Amino acid sequence: MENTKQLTTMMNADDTNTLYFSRILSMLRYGVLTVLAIIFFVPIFGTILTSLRTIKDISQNGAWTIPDAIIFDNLITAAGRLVPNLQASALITIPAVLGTCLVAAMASYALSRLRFRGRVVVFLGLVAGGFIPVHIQLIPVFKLMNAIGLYDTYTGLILTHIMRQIPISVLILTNFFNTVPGELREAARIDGASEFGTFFRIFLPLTRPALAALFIFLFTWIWNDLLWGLVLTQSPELKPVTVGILSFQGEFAIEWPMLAAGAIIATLPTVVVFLAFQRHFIKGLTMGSVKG
Amino acid sequence: MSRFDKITPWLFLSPALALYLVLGVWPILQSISLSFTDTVGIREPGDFIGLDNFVELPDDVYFTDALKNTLKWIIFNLTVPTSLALFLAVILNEAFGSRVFKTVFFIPLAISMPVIGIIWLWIYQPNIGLLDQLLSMVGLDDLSQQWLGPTYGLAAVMIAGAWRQTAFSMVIFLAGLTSVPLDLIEAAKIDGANRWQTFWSIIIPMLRPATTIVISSTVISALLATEIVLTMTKGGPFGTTDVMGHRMYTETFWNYNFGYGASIGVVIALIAAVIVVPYLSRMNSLQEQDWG
Repeated sequence: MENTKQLTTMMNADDTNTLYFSRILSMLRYGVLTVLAIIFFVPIFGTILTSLRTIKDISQNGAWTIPDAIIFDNLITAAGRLVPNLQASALITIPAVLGTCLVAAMASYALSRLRFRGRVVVFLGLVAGGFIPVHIQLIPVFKLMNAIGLYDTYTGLILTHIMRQIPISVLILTNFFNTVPGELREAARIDGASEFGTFFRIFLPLTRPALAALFIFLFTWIWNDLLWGLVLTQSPELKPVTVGILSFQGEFAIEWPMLAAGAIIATLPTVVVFLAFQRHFIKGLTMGSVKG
Repeated sequence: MSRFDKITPWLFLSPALALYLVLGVWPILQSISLSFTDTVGIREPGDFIGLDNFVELPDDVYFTDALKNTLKWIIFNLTVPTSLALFLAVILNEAFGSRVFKTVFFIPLAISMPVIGIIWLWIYQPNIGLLDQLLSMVGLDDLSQQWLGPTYGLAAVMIAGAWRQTAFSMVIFLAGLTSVPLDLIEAAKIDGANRWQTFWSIIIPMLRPATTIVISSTVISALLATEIVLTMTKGGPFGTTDVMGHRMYTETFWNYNFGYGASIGVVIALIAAVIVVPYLSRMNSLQEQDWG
């Protein structure tokens, strides 16, 4: 858009030199972008290519050649191995995301719409939590989960993930709620709706765009967690796919086509969600860009 | 105001606050108290040994090496991925049809650290790996190295991390750039400013909020880098790629030195706190503005 606009202004100015220069600049820009995009994409392309051939093929012909034969055996085997872990990831991630959205939306409603003493302190206290390194929580949470019988359970992991995601979610939602006109709540309250009724029936539906962005963002973030999965689970069937892929790595050690296939299977859900909802994901990330 | 109205905000806040306090804040206090003990494993509480763990840290070569590597990682993250992200964001922001490019650059954000680790392990494999094969394809065999050996290991792991970190910072910069009014840039052009001048005197100052976010989160992510080291090198060879976060994890969950591990966790949290203060004070002033 901006480019064409630029070109027309340039032509109006009837300055062929500048036009020429601007064209070269534009070509240069696309050249640089293309080269960098290729560099960024090569790891993914190479992994896909590797997963579709045998290790023998690679050692004979190299990894960057066209495969002797395209095989799906690696992907099928990897999928077979990782399906239980993918299932565990889903059973951990989805409740954790929904739980975080609900709990954080309620808190943000209070922080944004209700006036009470200590509001700023509570808000900053909650948001500051986004900066707390997980390393200072790992041991006590591990001990606590052991003590209350939630070690090696989905519930323990789900609650921990919700705790970790509350700060960023409260930040995102409070900022969003601040943009909703205050009259809406007042009108509902005057009509006799309770505060909870106002929140669930009027506010939540209104904030669907922000919740959608948060949902996609949290889904990727929680799904991709490794440390809590390592520390809080023990049974193979409870391990999320991030932990599962490490066992898979241990098992297939140097069978690179198989490892490449495992990497693809393990990352497929989040990449698909990302490609489908990129806009939401980016919005979620920028709305609460506290963490790295 | 009825009594109910006074409780209502706290009812909305209670689920978030309860989880946050029990699973988030209480563990921090426990970690701190644990760091003053010689606790080994989960069964028995250790003896109080005052600051002994912290006194030991500077003499522990494993820790000091990890600390040095973490500092190198922070410096690397501040320079390479940050400037690359800024460069990409600026040219992507102006480029026509940049959606495909953006998707390519964003994809690493959707991939979990263990999968990134496996992909890059394959890239760095001696002889057979993607990088060495690429080099030999273009006749640059001589450049081939022990990429994950003692000399290049740390840089290799940092680059794998940068693949994702660049994407993250770029998202934030791009969001920041949307707040730069195009009219301002057009006006500068009409006034005869060249690209370089526009960049330094308009774009950079307007990007200051985004830059604050990028800098604090990029430093934090280098400080906490654990999962990628855990997947790729486990700190080896001979601790040359070890970092503080991974050191804490190994000391605790492999060596069962809970007390000592907790002291490393406390050090990490203290460094994070120092880094985050400027960011938080910025947030605080933003909140005060919003709420007048």
